[in-house]
Amino acid sequence: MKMKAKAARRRRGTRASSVMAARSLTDGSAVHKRNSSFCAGLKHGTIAPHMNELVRTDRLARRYVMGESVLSALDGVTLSFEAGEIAAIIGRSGSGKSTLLQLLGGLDRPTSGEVYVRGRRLAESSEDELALYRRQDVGFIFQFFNLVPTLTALQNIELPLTLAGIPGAERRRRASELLERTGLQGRRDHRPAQLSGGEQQRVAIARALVHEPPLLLADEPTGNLDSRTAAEILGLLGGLAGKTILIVTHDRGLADTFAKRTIELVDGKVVSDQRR
Amino acid sequence: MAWANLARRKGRTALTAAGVLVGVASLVLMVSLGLGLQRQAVQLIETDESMRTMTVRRVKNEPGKKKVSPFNFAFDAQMLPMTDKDLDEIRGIPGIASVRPELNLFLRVAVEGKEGSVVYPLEGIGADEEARYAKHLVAGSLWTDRNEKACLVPTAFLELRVNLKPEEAIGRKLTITGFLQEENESAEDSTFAVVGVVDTEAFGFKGRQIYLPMEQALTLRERKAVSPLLPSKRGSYLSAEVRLADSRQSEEVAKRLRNSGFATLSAMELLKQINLLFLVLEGFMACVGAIGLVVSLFGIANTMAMAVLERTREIGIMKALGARNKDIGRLFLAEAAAIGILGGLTGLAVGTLIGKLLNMIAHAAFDLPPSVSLFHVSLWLAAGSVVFSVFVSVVAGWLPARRAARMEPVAAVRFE
Repeated sequence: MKMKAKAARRRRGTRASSVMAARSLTDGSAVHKRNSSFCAGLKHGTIAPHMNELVRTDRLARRYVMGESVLSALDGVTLSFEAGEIAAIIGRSGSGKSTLLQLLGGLDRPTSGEVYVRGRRLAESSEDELALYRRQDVGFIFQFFNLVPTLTALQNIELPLTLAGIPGAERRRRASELLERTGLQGRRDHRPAQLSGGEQQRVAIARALVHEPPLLLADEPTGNLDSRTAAEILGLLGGLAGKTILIVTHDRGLADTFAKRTIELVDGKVVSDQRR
Repeated sequence: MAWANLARRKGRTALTAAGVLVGVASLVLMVSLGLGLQRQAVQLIETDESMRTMTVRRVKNEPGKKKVSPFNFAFDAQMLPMTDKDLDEIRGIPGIASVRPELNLFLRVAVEGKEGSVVYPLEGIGADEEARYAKHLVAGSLWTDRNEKACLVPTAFLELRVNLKPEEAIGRKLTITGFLQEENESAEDSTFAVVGVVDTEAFGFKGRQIYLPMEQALTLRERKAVSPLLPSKRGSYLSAEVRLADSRQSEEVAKRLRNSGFATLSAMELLKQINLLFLVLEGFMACVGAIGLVVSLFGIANTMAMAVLERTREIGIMKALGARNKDIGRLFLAEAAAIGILGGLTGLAVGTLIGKLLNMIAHAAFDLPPSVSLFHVSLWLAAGSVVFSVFVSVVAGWLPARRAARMEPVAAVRFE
């Protein structure tokens, strides 16, 4: 794999006017380190949908009830992401970054607060509509690849199209194209168990891209890979022009090299949101 | 995809499908036995000739009041012997082509050149009926003179009782003696030459009688009938055989006869009763057979529940990729159905084979005629058993599939 990350980063130009707000729903006293030239704190609910805005959250909270105690995984997160933006979400394990990703991807529903996609409230969607949203607008990449073990590389890549009911020939054409783009031509009929970690993650990336979603959500995509392979995978992700990519990681160095915007979560709250 | 998922755990799938197999096989075996016997009975009864004839008896009490069941038709206390006057009355009823008395004459018959003798029914044929029997001769011809000491024998008699080919039987003499005891009579009086062989198949259950010219048969009955239960004098008969002008008028003619104070028993009524009886029998056998299938339901449910648990993560992945609840539910239902198809088809095959095997054993053990098959797998039974096994499987897979469908995508993905 060629290293494309730097070239990709250069391509992102206009993000100075990005609307950003990070607020705490519960106490409002959380300290936000903001890059003041980029950000303007706005009152919730009055955020005008920005021209290029793809996803926005408003005082998003997710609490898990565990017997007697309530675990607050996410606590009043207000963020906005533009189309084509690449952002890293960092934080230690348990900081709520994965939960944020799941809420953005419609895999989970918030306890309170809202997720807006292109100005539309996700909470209004039925189960089936959420599935449709995931099928059309979101591509997921997981730390543990999450390929279906019984399917070949090609079939795994085809899966989102299969679920969307796209005919076989078209499916194979598009999946094959991505197989080539990710450099896996020779692995077409291999099952996940026969692939290396890096190859599996490339299949997973191809699978996340095959239905051409505008939003790519990557949860520790390199967490399970050695550093050389991780660099390859990041290069691959960085080369995806025009997609909104949110990458969750606990590695600040990785975030700095990969993304122009780094959001840090601590205990379910946004503590910093920096752009370079 | 359902098949691929099943292929993944061949052992477990095979064991679960084997449960269905046993259930379907027992179902098929039981019901096919019922169907085989039913077919045998129906074949025996249902022919063009038999559908055109009915047996008629005189009833004691008010006309039209009582419909006599075929099962107490012969020995019902309300029955009266019939007279020649009754026969004339019947002849006058519209829709009836011919009437002849039934003699119900069971006598001992010895065939020339063969050891021993057999008890066999004999009947008389009137002059007006000769053409009808002449049409179904497989060998020989009709008597030329009604005073000739001649008879027609049915193929069933030759095949099953004396083991002769039709051609070999022509010209042989039959010596007829009383049912119970030998009588001291001149042999000539009761010796009849076989002139023709009648096809049993053509006459159905009425095709198992030796036929004599009516006059001679009546004489024979007077002399040899010994039963105190049955009439033996001329002009007195147990019953009459009525031949319809058209088999489709069976119901109407039977009604007219009943209104005139007769009881009727037609092949059609008999068939109706027999079919009803077999329906009940087959229903019962299907229930017994289905027990196995119901037991296998729990096996399928267990297998599917385990599959759902094992594949929690996979379900999560599929959901993350945009699978709707119903997509997941359908996938698991399809897997359950696939187990049903697998077990259903193999069970059908195994059940059919066991039936064939048992049939062969029965043939070897009891020397049945080759046309008899005890087990019959009809298209309906084959299709029905497979459809039923799929239905049972889908029912069994219902709850596990629902659980899979309703699984929270996040919980499923997080499941490590």
